[in-house]
Amino acid sequence: MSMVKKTRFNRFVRRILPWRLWVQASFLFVWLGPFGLRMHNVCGPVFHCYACPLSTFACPIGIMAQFSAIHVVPFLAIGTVLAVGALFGALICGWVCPFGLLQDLGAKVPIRKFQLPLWVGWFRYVVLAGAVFAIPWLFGEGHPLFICRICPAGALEKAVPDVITQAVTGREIVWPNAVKITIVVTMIVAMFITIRPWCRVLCPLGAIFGFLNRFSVVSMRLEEHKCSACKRCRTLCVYGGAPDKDPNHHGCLRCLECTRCGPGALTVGTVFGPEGAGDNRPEPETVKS
Amino acid sequence: MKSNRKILVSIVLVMVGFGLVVYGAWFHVVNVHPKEGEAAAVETREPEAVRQASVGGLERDDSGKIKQTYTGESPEACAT
Repeated sequence: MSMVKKTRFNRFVRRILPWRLWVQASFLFVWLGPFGLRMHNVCGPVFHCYACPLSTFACPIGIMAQFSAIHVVPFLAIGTVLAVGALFGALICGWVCPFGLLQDLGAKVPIRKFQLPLWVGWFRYVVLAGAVFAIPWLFGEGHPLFICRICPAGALEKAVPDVITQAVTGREIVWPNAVKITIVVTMIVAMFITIRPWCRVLCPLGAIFGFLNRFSVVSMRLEEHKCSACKRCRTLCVYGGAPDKDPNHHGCLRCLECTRCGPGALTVGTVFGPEGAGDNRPEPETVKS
Repeated sequence: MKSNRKILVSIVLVMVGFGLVVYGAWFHVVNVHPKEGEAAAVETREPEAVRQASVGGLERDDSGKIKQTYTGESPEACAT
């Protein structure tokens, strides 16, 4: 089998990998509108509540749900998510999303972390189908399970800043309702005791990007001839994945930590790269005995 | 998935995504009725409808009409 040379992109990824948190943080300059830009007629490709006083773009999931409630197809939101997801897959979740950054920072608190099984990622599709499309379509935006009403991003990025602002400015504090407070507390606790709880279990945007992992232009590849089956990649994957079995699994958030494995068998590239960065799961006839 | 087929699927998905964005941004309109009265619906382009939806400014009434939830200045942020 021919050796596949590391591309320039791969070398860049290796160099930038230790700085992932800083990359995520620098993207805040885009999502948090430092110049007071409120371009809410454009959908951003990340999970960031448009009710947040600093949000630059509209949340695509919120728009999909709101448009479902008025029975209109949200071409802009679907197109944005599809185009970005088909280009990058869940790389957006791992490197760009501000709500992912928030959870990554929460995970830095040195408390014993509980590992969630990979199959919980299927719940994200239930949330996407139910709380984003079906419930708004059938019952309108007043239903208690309408995504924006149960969204922790909205609770943390709007309700919490509102309470803080009211407290700082000496105005009367208007506390959010019990549901919002429960969501905030649950989310904060979950952020500390497990890694990326929202992204892995419930995020509807992550569900779309995760599904597109298998078809995206930027793609993970496993060079089987380099893999020594040491399972180091599974140790490196904080999400409990098995990158050596399926590098483009729908539950992968593409933090790219697995590319640090010793033999360098896991790389990130594009479908146009050498041999195509395709789905490199061994096909039955090529599995070595 | 074979490499060539994967390239094709990726390109088609990206192009469909961009196509939807272009259609939504330039061609798709939503008929929005004012909150009160029987005034004719205003053809609102999708980016403007997105902005209004992002502040909770649109709702669907029992007759299926899409109506604004406010009169005059739009709300600053979504109430949900």
